[in-house]
Amino acid sequence: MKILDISHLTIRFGGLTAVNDFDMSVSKGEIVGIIGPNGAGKTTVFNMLTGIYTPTSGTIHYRDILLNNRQPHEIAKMGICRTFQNIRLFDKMTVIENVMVASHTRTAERFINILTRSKKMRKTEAAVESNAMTLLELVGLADYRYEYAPSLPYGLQRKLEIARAMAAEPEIILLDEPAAGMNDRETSEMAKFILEIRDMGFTVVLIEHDMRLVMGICDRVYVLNFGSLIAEGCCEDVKTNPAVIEAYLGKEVQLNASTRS
Amino acid sequence: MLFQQLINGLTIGTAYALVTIGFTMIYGVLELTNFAHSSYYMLGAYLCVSFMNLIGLDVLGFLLGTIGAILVCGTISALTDKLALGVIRKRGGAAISALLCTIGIQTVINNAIILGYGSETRQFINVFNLGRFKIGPATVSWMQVIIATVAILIMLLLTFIIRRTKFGAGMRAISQNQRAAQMMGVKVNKIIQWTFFISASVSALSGVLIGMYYRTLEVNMATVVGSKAFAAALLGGIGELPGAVIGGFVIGVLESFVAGYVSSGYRDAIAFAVLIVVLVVRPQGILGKKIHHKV
Amino acid sequence: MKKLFSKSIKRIIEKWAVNEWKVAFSCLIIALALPIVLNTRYLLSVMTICCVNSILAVSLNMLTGYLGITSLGHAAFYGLGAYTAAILGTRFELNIIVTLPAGMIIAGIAAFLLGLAAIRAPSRHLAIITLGFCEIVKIVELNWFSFTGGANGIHSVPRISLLGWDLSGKYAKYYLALFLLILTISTISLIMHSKIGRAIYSIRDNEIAAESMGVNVFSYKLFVFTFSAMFAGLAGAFYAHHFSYVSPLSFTFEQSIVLLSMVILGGIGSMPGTIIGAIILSLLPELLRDFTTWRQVIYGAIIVILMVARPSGMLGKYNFKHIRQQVKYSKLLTKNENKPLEKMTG
Repeated sequence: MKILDISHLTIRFGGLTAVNDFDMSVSKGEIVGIIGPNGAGKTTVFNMLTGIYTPTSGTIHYRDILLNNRQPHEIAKMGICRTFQNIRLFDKMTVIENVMVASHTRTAERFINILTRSKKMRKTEAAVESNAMTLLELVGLADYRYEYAPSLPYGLQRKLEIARAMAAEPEIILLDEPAAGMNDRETSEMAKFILEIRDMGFTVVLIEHDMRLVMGICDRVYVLNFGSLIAEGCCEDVKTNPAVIEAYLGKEVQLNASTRS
Repeated sequence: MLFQQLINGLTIGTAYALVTIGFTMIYGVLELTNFAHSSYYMLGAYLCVSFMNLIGLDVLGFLLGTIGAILVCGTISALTDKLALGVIRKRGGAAISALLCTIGIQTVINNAIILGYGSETRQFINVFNLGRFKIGPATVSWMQVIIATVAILIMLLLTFIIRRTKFGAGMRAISQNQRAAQMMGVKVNKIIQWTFFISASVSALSGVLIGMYYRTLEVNMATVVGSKAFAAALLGGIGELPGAVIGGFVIGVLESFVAGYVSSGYRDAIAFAVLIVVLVVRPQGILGKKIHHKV
Repeated sequence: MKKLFSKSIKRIIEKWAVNEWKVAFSCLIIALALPIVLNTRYLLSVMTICCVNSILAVSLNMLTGYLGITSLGHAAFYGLGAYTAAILGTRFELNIIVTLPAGMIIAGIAAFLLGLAAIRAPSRHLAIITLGFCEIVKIVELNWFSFTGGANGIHSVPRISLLGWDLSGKYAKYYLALFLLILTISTISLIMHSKIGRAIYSIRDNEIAAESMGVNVFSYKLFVFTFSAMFAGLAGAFYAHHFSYVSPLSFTFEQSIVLLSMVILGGIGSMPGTIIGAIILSLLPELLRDFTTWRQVIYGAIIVILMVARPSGMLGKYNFKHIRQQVKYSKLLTKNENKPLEKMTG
């Protein structure tokens, strides 16, 4: 079942067309990868999906709702939540509080209950906290729960971002380079973890540079270059697609010519 | 009447512009709102009068007095950075702590002036006595022309320093990324101290010129100009030197029109109301560039 | 030596954090008992002013410390509350049951409208926008002579009375101010210890991430801006009845700066710190009264020295809730480490 449908998506910043006529669709329970060289416009697609940028033209539909002019917080509430390539954690909050923030849209509290600190409110707070604890245990951060987020090592900060996105209970999780800066072992752990997330019922869209990670776990991949879609399909098809090879390695003829000279 | 209001507005505007230039320079490098900045405007004027009383009430006395005032104000300003603001920076204090520190410095300087000179209005003798001339229906004094010329020259000079010299390159590097600049061998603290020196010097010079134009010195001259310079900097686009000048002019002219045609009581209120509207509609100011934050 | 000193400070802070409730309760008892010792009209008036300034500082801290928006116009809302109470009190002879909430509401409405237009602007613009608003309010107060009395201000605001009881005595006024302060502190603390509080902190730390996690940044900013202005209005309304006189010169931009100084000096984002800062900066002018000429210079110098010595304010670095959790957790860990050992020996 298709839950996310992007068609003819285009955005321009002044004269620069960052994403041009991009089409993509995601079905429930899939892991979809978006790959491409630096500056291909992958993160820009995420920014449009989450409402941070407004597309110049084209449409984004999530379960038949048009997302084009929605605010980021509305989109998060509808069920699309993300992580950031350049980590954006809440620096002066503890690890567990970082995760608890994301439960925001899933709990409703009347103002009077907050001012009286009613039983119901304390119960909800306890539930939010235990939910956050469960997620922290899942990503292996339970021991760090009362540390400040910036004191964590880089890899754990990425995991915390994922835990935070999961706490928002979205249907689709967007992961922006989840394995950036990780070594081989950590990357394969991350791959396993992403599969686990999918098995928990989340649909995953991820941006990644590490080809092995993408090819190992993605059901389908989309390849972007200079803002345009150059290939899509299952991993095997894409790997052998000449346009993709060209985008990543350059034209064969040119490569030979330059090595000879 | 209309033209005369414009000329008067431009003169007040020049004063604001000169103070704003130094203010926006520090903001551009450190993103620090320097509340002490307008104090050097007042201190410069008072010091110049003191020096003139010592040296002589003539052109030579005025020139030497001005140089003295500039040097003293610049040095005090650089020292405040070395002894206070720089220390806060080094200890990783929040931006707002530095801001409060500049408020403290402002309080000390303004009240030290009241202590040293008394709170009554003092006279500033105009040593030039150049007279005035007419353009159409309006009268323009040569002093106004001098002030405007100096303002434009200073703006050009500072623009040259920032765009074309090694020192300016250092300033721009610091404003982009202080730590990276340090690692690339930019002498961060030295450049910041010199920026404070230059900014306070320009402020002192404008205090001297405007004091001489109005022929009086008042103990509230700093606070009157301070918030206007702040407003002018944002209006023009903060961190941009030409923006500072345009912002100063716009606020000066606006004030003089409101005072002339609406009511002098509401002069400052309308200047601020316009500023608020401009900032809400065009947050980057008149000349400022829209910054696209990468997400 | 220096290391030892900082270590003992750390221990004191830890103790304080763990026993925050006990410390707060003791402070309350002291505040209730102080009038027995300090019973002159002057001292009680100073203490009342400490309470009023604390209300202002605590409410400004909600905006500046918790949400991260620097306001240079808090005094405007303070003034709006004061003028509302003064005008209602002198023209309609209403008592504080009406005037205090009215002061809150008028200040709140003004903040809501200003926020609706401007709260989306970047932080540095908000500083100047609030400064400009403060100047505009002052100028209107000065020039709208028929309504506000212009530079003369409004005299003989009715004394404080409640249900026929006269509360304008020196003791009654102090206790009323203390009550209002406790009301402010507890309301703001309760909010900050809920999901609203978490959302507010998250906006301060990273606006884009907060928005992406489903926090409606605009409405939370508007809410905090309005809410903090309402408490400033409350303080202002009380002020009008306390001095039975209001003048535009009490609510200038300089007053806003003093309020901001209280927040930063005590430690931005720390409730106890803010109150300590407010008390210090309320007492300092009184203590320096004998040095009339040097007063302002010393005042400025003290601010500079304190900021250089402790750039994050007195308690700015410490989040008591986090310290409490960390202490509790480390105790739990040591307990668990001991357990398997016991098993092995047993």
